[in-house]
Amino acid sequence: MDDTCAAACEISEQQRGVFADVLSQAITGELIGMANYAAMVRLYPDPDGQCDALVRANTELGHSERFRRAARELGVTPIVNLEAPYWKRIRTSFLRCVDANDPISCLVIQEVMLESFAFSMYHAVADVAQDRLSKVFRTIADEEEGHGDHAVEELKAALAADRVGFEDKLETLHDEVMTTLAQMLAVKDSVGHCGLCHGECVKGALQHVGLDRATLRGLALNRYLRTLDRIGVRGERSLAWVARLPV
Amino acid sequence: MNAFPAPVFAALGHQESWSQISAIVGALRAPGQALLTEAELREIVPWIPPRTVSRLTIATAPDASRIHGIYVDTFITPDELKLRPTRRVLDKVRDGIRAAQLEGVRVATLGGFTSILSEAMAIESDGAMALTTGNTLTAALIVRGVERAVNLLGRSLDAETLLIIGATGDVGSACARCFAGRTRRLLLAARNGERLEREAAQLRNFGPLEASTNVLELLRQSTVVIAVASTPEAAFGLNACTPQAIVCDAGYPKNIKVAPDGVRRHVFWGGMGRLAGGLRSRDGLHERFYHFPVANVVHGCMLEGGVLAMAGRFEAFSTGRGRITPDRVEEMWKLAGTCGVSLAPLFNEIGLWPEEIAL
Repeated sequence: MDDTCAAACEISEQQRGVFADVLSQAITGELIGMANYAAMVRLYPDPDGQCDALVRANTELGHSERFRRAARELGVTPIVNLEAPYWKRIRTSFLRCVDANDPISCLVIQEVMLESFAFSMYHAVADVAQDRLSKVFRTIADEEEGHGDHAVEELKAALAADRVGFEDKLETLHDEVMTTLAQMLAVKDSVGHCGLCHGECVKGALQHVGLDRATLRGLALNRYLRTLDRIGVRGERSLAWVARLPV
Repeated sequence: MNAFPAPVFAALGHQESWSQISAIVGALRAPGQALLTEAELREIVPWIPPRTVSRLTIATAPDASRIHGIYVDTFITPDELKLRPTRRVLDKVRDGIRAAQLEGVRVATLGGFTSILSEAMAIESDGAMALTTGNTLTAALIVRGVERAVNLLGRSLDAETLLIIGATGDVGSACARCFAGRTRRLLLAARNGERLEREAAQLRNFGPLEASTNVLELLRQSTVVIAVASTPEAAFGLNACTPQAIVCDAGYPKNIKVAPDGVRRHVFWGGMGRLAGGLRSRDGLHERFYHFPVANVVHGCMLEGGVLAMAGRFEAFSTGRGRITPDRVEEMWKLAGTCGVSLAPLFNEIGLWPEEIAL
């Protein structure tokens, strides 16, 4: 029995369909991350900073490749669509920060906001997936966490330099990017089809693999707020921000 | 205004109902955004890590210099209050303590249900920040409240049969010690019969005393009731009390189901203090959501840390586990008095007692 069959035979068609859509989101998200880091190269005047951004872009590319391999082993064909409405909106916000020559905002979007969703989703999937798929998601989640730690230190320094300015900037980014991410996991889709699911929205089928939309959303929210706490953002401010998110 | 002085005290707490949470979250949402339904709140609130929700100032008098503090909500949900404390709930209390520590607070009160941490484990103050359960001031306010109720109604404490529901808890046992020998009879009720008997054994020498796990049986005999059970499943209906009973409800959530049956009973919310210098919140949240019939009323359990801070005593005054003695209650009461804290006029959900209004 080859690897493809071993992974594919243990789950039902329904479950395979759910994992296919989850992998579509993961692969697309990683490629957006890759493109984001690549775009950040020009924000760093020094070769060390540029190399660091490229290394991170390469890491994200590596993640997307591992997810693609996992999809092949599962016998599914993920949809990769960097123009998918939600992701395109996030990418647009990110590029605006690049154009504004604002590496701090870029880090916030990529390492705080997107990372919170990725980390929590990957861990949740790892908890319910079969051995090989589970291992891929868990390993990548742990690697994402390493990125986040590095960014937190940089963002702490930025907050220490100008607390109010930093928190105001974060609030603007929150309203733009976190609102989009929250919409992705909201009960109703605000953009119609997300552009990544094979058929109907996967959110309604997550229970077939032991996941549910509300828990994924809750885990991401918890991770996001805890990251903001680590950076030192005042609790009452971040609470007011999340209270405004769509549900 | 963005700058805010570093807080020296913190009060940890939680909301008692989903409607209260809905109002607070609603106030934080953008203008025009719909209020979240309870179902939607249940998707969000349990995931919110404990955090500073509001910045407060208190003072011993209106013209005195103000002391800065924070209110940290643990986001223990109303549903979690109904259950025995889980690891998740205890973690929320610990995370709340950490949130206060990160703000550089010097004394923090474990208000409301959060003091259960002291029942679950020995709480240790962390070097720079002292932890206090808030239960000594709560007990002091309950004792003073019962004394005031009896006086207002022209009755005499030594003629009353006083029942304490939740008598083995930190506040309940403190009240039992404070009233031992001062009433005609003292009745103690709690769920754990073994602990109850241990508590009763210490007090029998002071005067007539009965202890039982059967609350209803004791309710039928009592003329004054202090309800401080920390579980809502012990909630009892007012119709179980004797006519003209004085009932001090100081439970979290409230122990008493109010079911008007035409028979007058004198119910008041116990453990409530009044702060002469007032409590103000920077964002107005406190003022918006805590409506009492008179101004400047604060839960005693939330206030103890503020009192210690105003008095410059950054210490773990109340450490839980039934260690509150009458002497300590008196000490806290005197300390609170020097900080402008007095007993709040007696009131319940309907409003001030008519006897208070008449004064």
